[in-house]
Amino acid sequence: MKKAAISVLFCVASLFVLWFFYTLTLREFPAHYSTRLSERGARRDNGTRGETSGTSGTELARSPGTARQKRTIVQPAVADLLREPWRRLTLAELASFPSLSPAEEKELIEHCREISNPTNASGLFSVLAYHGNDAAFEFLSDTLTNRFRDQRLSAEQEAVLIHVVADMGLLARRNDRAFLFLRQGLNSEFWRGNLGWLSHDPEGLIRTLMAMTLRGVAASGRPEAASILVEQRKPDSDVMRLGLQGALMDSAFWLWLALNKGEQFYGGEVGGQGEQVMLQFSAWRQRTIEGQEWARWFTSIESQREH
Amino acid sequence: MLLYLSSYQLNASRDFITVPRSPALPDAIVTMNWSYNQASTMDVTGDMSECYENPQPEDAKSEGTEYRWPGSGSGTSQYWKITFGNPAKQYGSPEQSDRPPSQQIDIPWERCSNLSRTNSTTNSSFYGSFSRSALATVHLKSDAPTWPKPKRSVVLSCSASDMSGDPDLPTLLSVTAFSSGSRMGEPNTSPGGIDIARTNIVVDGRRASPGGDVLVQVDKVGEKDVTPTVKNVTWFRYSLSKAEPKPVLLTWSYHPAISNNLPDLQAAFDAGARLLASDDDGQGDGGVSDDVSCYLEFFILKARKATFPSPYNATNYNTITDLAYLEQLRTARFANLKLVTLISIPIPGWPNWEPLGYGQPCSPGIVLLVSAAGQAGVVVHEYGHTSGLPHRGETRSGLFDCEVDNPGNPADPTALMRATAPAGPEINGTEWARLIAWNPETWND
Repeated sequence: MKKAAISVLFCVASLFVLWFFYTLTLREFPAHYSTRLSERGARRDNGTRGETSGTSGTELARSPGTARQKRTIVQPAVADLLREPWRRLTLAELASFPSLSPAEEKELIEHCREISNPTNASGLFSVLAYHGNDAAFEFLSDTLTNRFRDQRLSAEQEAVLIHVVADMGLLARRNDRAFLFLRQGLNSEFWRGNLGWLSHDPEGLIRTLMAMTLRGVAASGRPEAASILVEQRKPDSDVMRLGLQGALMDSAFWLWLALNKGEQFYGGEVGGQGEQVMLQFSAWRQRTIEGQEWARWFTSIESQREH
Repeated sequence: MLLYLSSYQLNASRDFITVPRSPALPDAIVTMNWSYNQASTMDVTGDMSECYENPQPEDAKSEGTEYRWPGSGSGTSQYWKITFGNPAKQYGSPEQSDRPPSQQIDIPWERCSNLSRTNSTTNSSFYGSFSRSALATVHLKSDAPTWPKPKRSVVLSCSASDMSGDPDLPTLLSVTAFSSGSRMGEPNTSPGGIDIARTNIVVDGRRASPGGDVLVQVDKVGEKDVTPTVKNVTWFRYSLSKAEPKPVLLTWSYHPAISNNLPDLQAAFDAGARLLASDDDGQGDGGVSDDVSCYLEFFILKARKATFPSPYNATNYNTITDLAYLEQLRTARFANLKLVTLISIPIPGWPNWEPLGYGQPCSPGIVLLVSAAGQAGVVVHEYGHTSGLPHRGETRSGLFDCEVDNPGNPADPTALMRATAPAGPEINGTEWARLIAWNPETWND
């Protein structure tokens, strides 16, 4: 009887080990992996419980018996993200996303690295920018400048990475290295030296990257960003030399929104979709001293094109 | 713009089926073929063969009057008779007859489709049958070769009376004397009212609003039949009157890089005006989803600067990727409507904003994608924004004076002002009020 019980226990243990390695192989397919992990969440034993994040109850669990001490994310929002990592999240969705602990940040980065096509990681990029910190900065800056070096990307892939530049501004709210990165990105030489992938139109790409860098500086919401943007109005700045006065004025507006609306802006409560944005932009341009001043400057720059 | 009676055809008869009866109550037939500015006729015949038990040779068996009118001016009427003793028509002297419609012979604006009353019981000893087919067609004519656009608009106001349901019809039939008028002595009934709000009245293929109004568009040199139809009413009389819709004058220009496939903006706005005018849910409940009619006539004229002047001829104003360029172009006063190739603007935390058009409250400038500017729903949706309307179901931003709240269901697929394309055809009372109150300035610097 005792022998039989031991045999049964052995069989169960063997099945468990087999099942565990099966789940490990699914790491090739993060969406499936995350689904399984979330389904498995209820099975955690005592002693395998991970940290709980302070704000929204994100839970991590160590998989029992793993030699790699692999951390597994089981919070539903994260699981949803990993199920559709390509879906770009809105500011409101990003704001309601649970905060990331350093461990969770690393875990997401690992997932991200396993996705070779940047188009399929758009959502992950934005979550890392919104909620990450140093590790996210290192990963995102590497993604922009190095990871796809020597690869010719499709227009769709390129568009995703271009948005990462602006998203870097969300990271720069609290991360000095990200802000410094953006400041460097206002110099076209920076992008020429660090262009992260092969493009059919490198000069056009550099221009676009700089325009998104301006938006990133604005999205940082840092008070010092205002003077940085004003500085770009100098005729000898790369921004002006490349004719990015439109993006520059837009960035002044975004910064004004971030500074004046704060969490409402970062929570997606203001800004929002295009027509609401345009209402606010139009009102800013007509009715605020700052907006009027920028509008006068922009009009004067544009009128000089005639001569 | 001329609203006029174009033609009138009448075939009416009464056939008393009892004998004997007075010669004052013969069987009778009236036919009339009348056309505006064309030779016209009317024949009225009374048949008294059933009116005598013992007719004498000199008694009239039939008598009548023939009316002949030239295209203009007075015509003649001529009495005739056939006696029991002489089957040849014996004519009296011709007399002058004013061309109808006149004081003597009116032409009712009516429509009657083979109305027939047989074996009607009367309160006298007579029985009768009665049939009638009549059609008065009304045309709307424009003769304005210098009109600044291909079509002219007019609001026709229609009212109608039901002539077929009068309960006194049989009684009146028995006692009404033969007359020489176009009504041939058939009952002069008290018309029953037709509730326009609840009745499907159609003019020029469009259902009249609950107030009886229809927007009609006619070629600037041309005319069309605007005779109404009233569903499920066999015989009705009607009236039509015209009023001018509110004129709106806007100019348009396009980026010089757009070399072909320019849309017909005027046609798009004309179609948009028809959308605004239609009220396809009848009387409705007056609520925020109730469709109402709004009568506007858009004049979409090419701006003095037919293509964008400098600096707006730069690429940034054709492929627009910045809020700054979009707003700079919208507010430029060289034209109200500006056609561009692409608008795709990065918005933090959102996919790029790629609208089909862009307008702002209280300002008459609109930027439109050339690929979408031919769509009626798009152009009047953006025009609605300029008047101060947010999307259906949205509240005012509070940033502009003319804005109003726009209550309703944001997901209503029938709403013209719904947030997501495609726009529907309907406007509610709030939207009507803003559109009527809005007086956009014409930009043509």
